[in-house]
Amino acid sequence: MKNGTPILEVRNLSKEYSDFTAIDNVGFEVYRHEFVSIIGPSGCGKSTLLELIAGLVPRSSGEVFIQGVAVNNGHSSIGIIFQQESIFPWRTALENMEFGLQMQGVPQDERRRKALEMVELMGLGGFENRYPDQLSGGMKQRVAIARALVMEPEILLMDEPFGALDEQTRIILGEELLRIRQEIGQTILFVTHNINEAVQLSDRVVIMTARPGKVKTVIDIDLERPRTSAVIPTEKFGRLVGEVWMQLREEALKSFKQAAR
Amino acid sequence: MAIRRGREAAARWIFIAALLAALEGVVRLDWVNRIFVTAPSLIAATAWEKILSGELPALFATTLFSVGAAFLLATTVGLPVGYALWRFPLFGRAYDELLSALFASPWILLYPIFLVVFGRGLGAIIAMGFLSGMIPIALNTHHGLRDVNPIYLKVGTGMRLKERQIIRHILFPAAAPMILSGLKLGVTYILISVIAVEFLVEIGGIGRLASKGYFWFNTEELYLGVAGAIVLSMIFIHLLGRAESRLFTS
Amino acid sequence: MKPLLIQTVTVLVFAAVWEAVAESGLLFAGILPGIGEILRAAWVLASSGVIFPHLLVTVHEASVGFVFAALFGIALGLLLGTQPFLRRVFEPPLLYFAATPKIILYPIFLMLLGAKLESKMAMAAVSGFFPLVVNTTIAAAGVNRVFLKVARSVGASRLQTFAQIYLPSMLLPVAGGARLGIGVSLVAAILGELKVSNAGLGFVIMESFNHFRIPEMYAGILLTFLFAAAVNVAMTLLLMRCRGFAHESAR
Repeated sequence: MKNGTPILEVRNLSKEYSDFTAIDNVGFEVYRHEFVSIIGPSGCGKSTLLELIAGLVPRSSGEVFIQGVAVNNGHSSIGIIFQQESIFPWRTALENMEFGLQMQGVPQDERRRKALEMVELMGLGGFENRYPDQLSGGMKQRVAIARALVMEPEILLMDEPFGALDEQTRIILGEELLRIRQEIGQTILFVTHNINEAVQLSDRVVIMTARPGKVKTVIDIDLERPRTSAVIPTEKFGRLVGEVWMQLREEALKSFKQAAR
Repeated sequence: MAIRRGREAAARWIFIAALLAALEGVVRLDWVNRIFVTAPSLIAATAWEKILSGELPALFATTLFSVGAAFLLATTVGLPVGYALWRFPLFGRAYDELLSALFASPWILLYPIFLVVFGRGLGAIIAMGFLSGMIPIALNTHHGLRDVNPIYLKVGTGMRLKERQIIRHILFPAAAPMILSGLKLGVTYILISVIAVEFLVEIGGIGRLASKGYFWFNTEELYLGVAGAIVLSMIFIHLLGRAESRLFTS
Repeated sequence: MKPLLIQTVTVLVFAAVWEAVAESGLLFAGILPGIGEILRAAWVLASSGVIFPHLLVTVHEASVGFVFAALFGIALGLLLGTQPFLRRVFEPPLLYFAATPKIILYPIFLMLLGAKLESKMAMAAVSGFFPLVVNTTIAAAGVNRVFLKVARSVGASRLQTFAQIYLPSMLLPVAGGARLGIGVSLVAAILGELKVSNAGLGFVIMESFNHFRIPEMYAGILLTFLFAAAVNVAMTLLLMRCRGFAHESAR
């Protein structure tokens, strides 16, 4: 998989606030069609890292390249999905999906056509004209994913997108995400604190240290592709979860003590 | 953080000072008619005069007396009413709606009735203040007690506490923030209605001064009355806010 | 249904006690007219048309005042809500001022604008300003940060962000502030009339008080309350329509 120019390259990225360092000299690459997860203890700056890459937060130093080209204030080929509910309550599911294209001045019928394709892909048929308050949490997050995918981003950044959902919904949506990725070959950078989720979904897992956040190590997840949640009971899955945890354990303890101070 | 807050406070005071200075300048340069607008320094001089003569302290004392009396009455009635609304939920629901509707209505317009019934004096002012303070106190007490997290009560039941103990040690402490904010709301409304009625009817304390100043074309007195009422309200609200945050951070 | 029953019984009992006290003439003789008498006086005021020019005057004062309140309140609210520094500087004094009795400013308006409509308009404007500026500030500052990030991540312009994120997010809370503001403006105008005026609902009440036409005074207060309640109901209905509109506005 790792061939040619990476879709995303992060080099020496740092973020310092007046009283602490959130991200310290982070570097990694994501290649085309890859699914990479970033996992770390709470407060290690995982979300900050994604927002730095998306250009939503100004960086202190370092560089971000999209297909070899340096980008500064985000890029239209970077899509981002947030943990918090982010679909607009005043727009229907379909109108939410059209939002990004509308902002770019894409004509009404074209953006509607693209959004409808996405309805198909995401299995949102029959729900497209509903308002968010008539949708379940899982459905809302699907709409948010569709809203980002409509833009056909080179890379999709996902910040704990299933964090607010219950465990079962989370596993099912993870499986959905894998199916969609398979269908359209989407490259994904995924932030989570859930070890099972990281192993279930990823090709590689980037493990971060406690604050200040650095890359501790990268673990390859050599589970079969295409993959479903049926990998969960396999011995290999369990071993990989254990391996990730052993790397994380020390950092989680450190972070736990930091939080207690 | 402290530095930033200092900068904001400085900006605020500079703005206020600039406003007063501008007013002073406009009046001193005779850009406006002194019958209509007067300078802060002249208001301050009048204030000093009236402090020395004892008039201003007496006016403030009258206003504070009315507010205090109304608050005492409103609390004595409002707290038990709130408790009763909680204790008897069916009546609680019925009367909560009635009281809320009354509170949302322009009750201040009822003051002519109070004048007719209680006469043109402190009685009418205190009665008006009582009405405007009692309702929020009763409503907040009711809501505070009603909205106590049932888990806390279950903890008490689980420990086999007596009902009296649960009320004393769980229910009231849990409802205290809401009840206290009701008291704060009550005082605020009492102050507003006392000053308003003082002004409208030209009786009592600081509100009367503004009205008197207007009718006798005594511009300094008018502005002193207005400024006095506003400053008094602001000090009151500030102290209440401080008291509340002190109570809940210790 | 039971609370409604209790409420109805309470109102009826209140009316009965009132009537009994009034009829007996023992307490408050001459200052507590019977309900029939009050309703008759109200009917005379309404059916003879005497009240309507006054109603129009009050509505005129309140609405002109409210338009100013809305313009300045929303503009300042937008500024404070989107500029954190300005908000931290000016919001505390604004909130303090919001809790003071605005009627105390009335003599200044009387001085500057005279005893006619303009001084009541100023009262209505100043009073209605506060709910609007406070609600607009909170609404603008409270626009969901994540929504703004979404807009930025797809490269929305400032104008697009305002039209597509701020506007729909703020519509309901600002409309709620407007509902409060209209009520407050109306009451402020009437309070002004009660003090010094030669027309308006407050004038009708005060004239009857001064000439000791007590049933007519109660009738005036009753009609004023009914009108205020009607305005409130109308605004609430409008707000509900607004809620529907907030959903459809993006179509």
